[in-house]
Amino acid sequence: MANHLRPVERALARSELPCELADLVRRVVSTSQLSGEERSAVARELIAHLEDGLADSRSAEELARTFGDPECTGWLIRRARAPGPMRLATVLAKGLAGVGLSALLLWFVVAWRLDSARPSRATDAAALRAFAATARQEDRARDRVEDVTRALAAGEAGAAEASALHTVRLIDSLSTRPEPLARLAGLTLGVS
Amino acid sequence: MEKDDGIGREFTRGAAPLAVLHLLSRRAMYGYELTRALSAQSQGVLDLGHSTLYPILYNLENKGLLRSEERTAESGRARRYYHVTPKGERRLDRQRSQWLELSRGMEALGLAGGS
Repeated sequence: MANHLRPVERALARSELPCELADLVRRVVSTSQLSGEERSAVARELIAHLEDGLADSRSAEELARTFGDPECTGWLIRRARAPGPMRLATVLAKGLAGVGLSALLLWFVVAWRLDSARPSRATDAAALRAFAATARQEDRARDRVEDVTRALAAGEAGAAEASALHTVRLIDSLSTRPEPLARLAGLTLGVS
Repeated sequence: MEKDDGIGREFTRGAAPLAVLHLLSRRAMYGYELTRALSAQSQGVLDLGHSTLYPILYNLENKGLLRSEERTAESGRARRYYHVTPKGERRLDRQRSQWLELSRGMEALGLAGGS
């Protein structure tokens, strides 16, 4: 409570208001139950209003009399500052916008996941077929070449690429890198 | 002066926001300046005290019909000036039309316009 009142008290101390008017300001801001900065702003404005009244040759008694009920004023200020109830149309519009944004976000996430699950590089199928046709039986790439050519014959470009990716991992695991395997992987993945 | 049976106060409460918007649409003013202008220009009919004026100002500001900013007045003191927003201008136009319509209706009944 004291923390809330401190800025108000500072503003009152800086003002030239007599005690009875300062007390009215205190009672209004206390009843308003506003947060710190809003409370200070209201207090500063009321103080300024009363100071203007005094500067306008009005007596403190007259100003106090025409001030009105400070508790009622505080309550009215509290009600006026409170956020009003949202209209049904606003609620519906905000709800629909939220649903739309969520659906869009979900679509992006799903699209991204699907896209990242698919090999992204283009396969040079013709070059791959030509290489597979010339590959030697005794070559260590034979099994892989067969996998790839089988997949290509079945029209499964994705499977051919997956097999080639497997080949890359195989190459990485070998101490020596057989040239046919490297060429096969490069052709399948579109890497020269 | 006759005793107010509450209807006068109700009329004032209903008319005051429109009067405030109308005066502030001409130029920005701070609270005390506005009370003086309202009282003078309404020939004392709209003599608003704190308990009426500031809740009206805060309510109109909360609805986006007014904006306020702290500036230094001619007296050298910091004052919060209020001005009407475009939304407030549209509301003022609408309420002014409604008020004129009501006034015409009352006049037709013989309750206004000196007839």
